[in-house]
Amino acid sequence: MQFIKFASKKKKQTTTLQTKQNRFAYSLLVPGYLFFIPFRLLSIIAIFVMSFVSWKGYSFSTIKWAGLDNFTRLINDPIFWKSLWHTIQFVLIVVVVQTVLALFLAILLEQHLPLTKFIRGIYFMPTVLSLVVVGILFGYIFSPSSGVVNALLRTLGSEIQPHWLGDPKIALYLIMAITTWKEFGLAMFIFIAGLEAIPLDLFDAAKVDGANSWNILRNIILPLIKETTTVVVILTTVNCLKVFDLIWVMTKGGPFYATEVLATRMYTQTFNHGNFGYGSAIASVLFILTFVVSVIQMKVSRSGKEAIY
Amino acid sequence: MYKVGRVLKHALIYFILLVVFVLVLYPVIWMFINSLKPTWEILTNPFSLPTTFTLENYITAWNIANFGRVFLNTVGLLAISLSGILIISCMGGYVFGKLEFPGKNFLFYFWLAGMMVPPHVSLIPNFVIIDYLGLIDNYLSLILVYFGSATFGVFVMRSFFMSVPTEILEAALIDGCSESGVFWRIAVPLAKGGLTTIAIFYFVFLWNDYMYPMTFLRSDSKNTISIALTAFRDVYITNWGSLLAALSLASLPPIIFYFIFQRQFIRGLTAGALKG
Repeated sequence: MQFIKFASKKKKQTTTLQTKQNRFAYSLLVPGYLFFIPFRLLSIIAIFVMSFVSWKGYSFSTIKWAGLDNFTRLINDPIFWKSLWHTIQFVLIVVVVQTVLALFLAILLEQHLPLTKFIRGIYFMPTVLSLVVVGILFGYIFSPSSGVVNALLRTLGSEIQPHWLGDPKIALYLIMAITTWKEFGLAMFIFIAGLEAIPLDLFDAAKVDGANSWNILRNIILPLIKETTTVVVILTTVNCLKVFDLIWVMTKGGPFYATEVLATRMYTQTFNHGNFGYGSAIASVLFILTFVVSVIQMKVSRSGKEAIY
Repeated sequence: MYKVGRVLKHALIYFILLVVFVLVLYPVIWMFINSLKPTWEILTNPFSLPTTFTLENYITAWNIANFGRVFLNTVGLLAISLSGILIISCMGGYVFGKLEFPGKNFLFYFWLAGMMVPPHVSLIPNFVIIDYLGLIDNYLSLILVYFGSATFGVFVMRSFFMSVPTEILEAALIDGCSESGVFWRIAVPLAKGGLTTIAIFYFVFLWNDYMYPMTFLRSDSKNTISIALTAFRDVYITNWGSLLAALSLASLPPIIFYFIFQRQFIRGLTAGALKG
């Protein structure tokens, strides 16, 4: 870390050399900040400022200061509360299901039986697919009239032909299941890394002491991968807060707002209805939620990351 | 007795792993198999192997959805964006990981703050800037935004350069190499491992991105793969064969790359998930 300073001491031209070196450091940062400042950093301020205006977009002359109007509208908008509730449901259910599933499979795979390397490689594959492909593919698989699942139900002699994505009671849960299908592999590999960091002699010692599988899970594995679990939970939470692509491709928030979440509500309001101010207010809520989770992540992730690398 | 228990336990483990294996793999395999059947056969017999093997679907998808053009668009956009991201990440990572200069911590905290902004939140402000610059329906809009998303890359490269021994760089400096020479000739070649990690992470991110191209691009001739797929789906909703062929075409590049560079993919994407 000190290498430039150290070098400059040797050459005994500290001041001029130091300025030259500083200039070199700054010049390397210029390209990064050139794009980072307007497109990332400024967004934080802009999204909050824009929450207080009324604007249909496109021409700056039509911007009007709206005070708290957008937030009053937010509070009185039943669809907003619905989408917030769906987002929270999404987070709670997917986080629990995905974390438990990923940990369970990671433990099974870490028994190092033959073929498990190959199997875990396949489990990761959906992670590299695009959400658009996954959305269209499962939209077809679960299509009520020509879909495979209902065809299978018919072959099995079932009278029930669910409408799946067309059924407000099922649609959101189906999308949660598909999200888990696509993303559990990532969580699983984080758990695998955490499990591999546990010293093997701990298991041997436990077995010598006569511990059964449940004891080992309860008293060795779970306490030792606590930090990894926190990392997985936070990561999944952030991903679920941001869920958009899959819903947009499959249902666009319908039927009857049954799959409307914060991100889709924000998008429709801003780009389909041209309410830039109101859309920004929803985005601010989304940002605050993500921010809180990210701050928690920063606090706990240091130890968790050490478990990975 | 002990042995029987062990066999049973292993059998149970394999059974569970196999069920998940089928659930994960089957939809993808099903997509590839059925893309080789005519649509009527998909509808009458969705589970069988093709009896009438045909590449007709691929030809239709390629011609109607203009997939040649779409691929070219996506690959070109990806190549430019990725090169920019790699250069920015390499330079930023080196500066934050290896150099000492006034204001370093201050600048780095800014970078950290930027990493916390989800792309959904910056979408509206970015759209306003892009529209103001008159770049709607121009690839430059996406390139600028993607360059701005290099925050994660800088982060990875920073920790990577921190692990490069300072002595190597010092030695080069004492031997009369200039600061920029040390960076370009010594540090960058040492950074290949880190660059692979972020290249893979951004490849998957850029190839699959949907929200930004959908918002910024307008004309059909500029479609990237994600938009082309949804547009194709909306028009040819009943032509399942061609639709499945289009999906297969779009998924082949990431899947093939994944099976070739499996280790790097898993490392790159888990690192991305943890820091991005």
